[in-house]
Amino acid sequence: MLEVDIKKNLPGFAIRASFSSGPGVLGMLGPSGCGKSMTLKCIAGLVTPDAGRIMLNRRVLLDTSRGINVPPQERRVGMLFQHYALFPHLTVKENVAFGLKHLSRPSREQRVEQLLALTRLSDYAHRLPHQLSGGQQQRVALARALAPEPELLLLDEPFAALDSQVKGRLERELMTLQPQYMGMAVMVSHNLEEVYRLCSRIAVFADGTVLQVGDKEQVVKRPASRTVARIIGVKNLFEGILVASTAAQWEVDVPELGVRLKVRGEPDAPPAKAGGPVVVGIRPADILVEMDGGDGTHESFSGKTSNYCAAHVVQVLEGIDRCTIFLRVAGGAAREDDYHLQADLPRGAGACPAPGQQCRVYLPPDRLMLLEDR
Amino acid sequence: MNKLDLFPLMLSLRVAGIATMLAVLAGLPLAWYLARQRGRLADLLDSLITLPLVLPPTVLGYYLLVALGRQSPIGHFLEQQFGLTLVFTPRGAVIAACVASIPYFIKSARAALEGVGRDLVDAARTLGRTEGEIFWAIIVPIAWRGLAAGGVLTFARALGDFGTTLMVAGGIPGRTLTMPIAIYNSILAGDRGMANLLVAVMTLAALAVIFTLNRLQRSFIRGRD
Repeated sequence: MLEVDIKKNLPGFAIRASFSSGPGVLGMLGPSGCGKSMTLKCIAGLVTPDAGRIMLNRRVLLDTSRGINVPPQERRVGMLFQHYALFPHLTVKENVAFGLKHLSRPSREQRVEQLLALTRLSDYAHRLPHQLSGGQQQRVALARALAPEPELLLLDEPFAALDSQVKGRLERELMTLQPQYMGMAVMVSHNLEEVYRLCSRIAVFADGTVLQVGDKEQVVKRPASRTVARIIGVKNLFEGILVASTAAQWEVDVPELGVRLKVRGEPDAPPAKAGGPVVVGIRPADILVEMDGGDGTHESFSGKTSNYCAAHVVQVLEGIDRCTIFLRVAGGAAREDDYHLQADLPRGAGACPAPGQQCRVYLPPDRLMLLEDR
Repeated sequence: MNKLDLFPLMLSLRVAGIATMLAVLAGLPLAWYLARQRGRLADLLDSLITLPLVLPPTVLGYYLLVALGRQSPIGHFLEQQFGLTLVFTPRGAVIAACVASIPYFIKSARAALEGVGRDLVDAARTLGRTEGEIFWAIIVPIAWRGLAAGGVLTFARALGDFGTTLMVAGGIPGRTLTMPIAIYNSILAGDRGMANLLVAVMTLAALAVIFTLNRLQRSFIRGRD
């Protein structure tokens, strides 16, 4: 169990991080420069917060009110640095053995061999870091961090410096190693996909503050605020007025789109009273689009009595597997952007829609999110 | 032409060698401090360390003469307690050469130590190693080339010192007469042959130093290519 509650003032902004994490991987997600890496360094003891408390498995690592600040050497917290920070003058073996000085020579040798086998580096034991590929360097860094059996492993943007092929393979390796060798880990990343794939829980960071922590499904499906929604990839966000709410369904007027939307009710109360302002959001991939005159790759819209509107395509970005289209809704208000909605369509074998084409858009009630406006 | 007197050369090599050792011993901690601190005290210290580079050697020599002479508290204390005199002795020449050349070591060493990535030190800390172990096992080996280059420059500067050494040690023949002063003396005495010979020796020494520096910069250091 890791509990963090720290404050640190930095030039330009301040970190106010408060969260806890159990076994498994916690992903810290947020834009670059929002204080994620600094928070990791505070947990590792490399940076001292101005005030706060850090607990790891009932051990106090930091408690400024009691004047406790355990040095990084004694925290039993391993760290994987973004650029690996391998010692350039030491071989792979020497790098991995660096944190094992407390062991006797035979058990040190044994542990190093075990870790090299685990990370498939046995053949490279006597190489120097600059003789290795990026992926191999990362595995050395991982083996080195795991060698002293830390109670907590911190991963700072572990895949940022790798190309996508190597990245996919290392992600799988990390998933295989994690349950057995890492126990508890905290990973920092600005990549939602990466965090979602590798972590069980997500903490959303912005401007040095933790905005939401929770199970990844919950964070992604039910972001607590507009800012969180934006960070987790909800690209379509509109201001609206909550018109009515029952337990099963909420209704929201969205003047920007010129429609009244039905939103599936959640167990919790809606974020505003009837008549109050709310924010409605939907992911680009959750919007259903039916092109006029097309064969309709999606389910037919017949029978849908609400949540749809007519629109036309303003711009198209053609991807390999999907098309991202920008849509202007017929009854929508004038906006700063020249579009109202951004939708991702699976491409299949077909061509992407062309700009100017007319279509109908359906916003499924169970995919819409109702958020607080902050 | 007089027989070549090797004493000034040997004395110069010995003085410069000892001065370089002292400069490394005293300079390494100072460079380490300066590489890590950014306060007003560090700035002041940095200015003080740079002073010998900027001051005329004779002025520097004058300060040392005043500070270490028998009338000064330091000189008086050393003479009373240990029977040590510094002024007009080979020891004085070592101190003069050391003070005149130590900025070269500290500047190079500081840059080299600053060049060791912060993440490397942090990584070593999370791996449980003490600050002292990290300094000797990580920082010094990685900064080694810069430290060595600083040492060579320091030796070269100490070997060539004229003004400061003359002021403090006096250039007494057979006692504190170093190479650069011997060259000056032979020219004054009109002994061009001796002067040419000594100048040639000094030039060779300087060439050797420059060659070593270039080799250091090019030499293969593990993992730094």
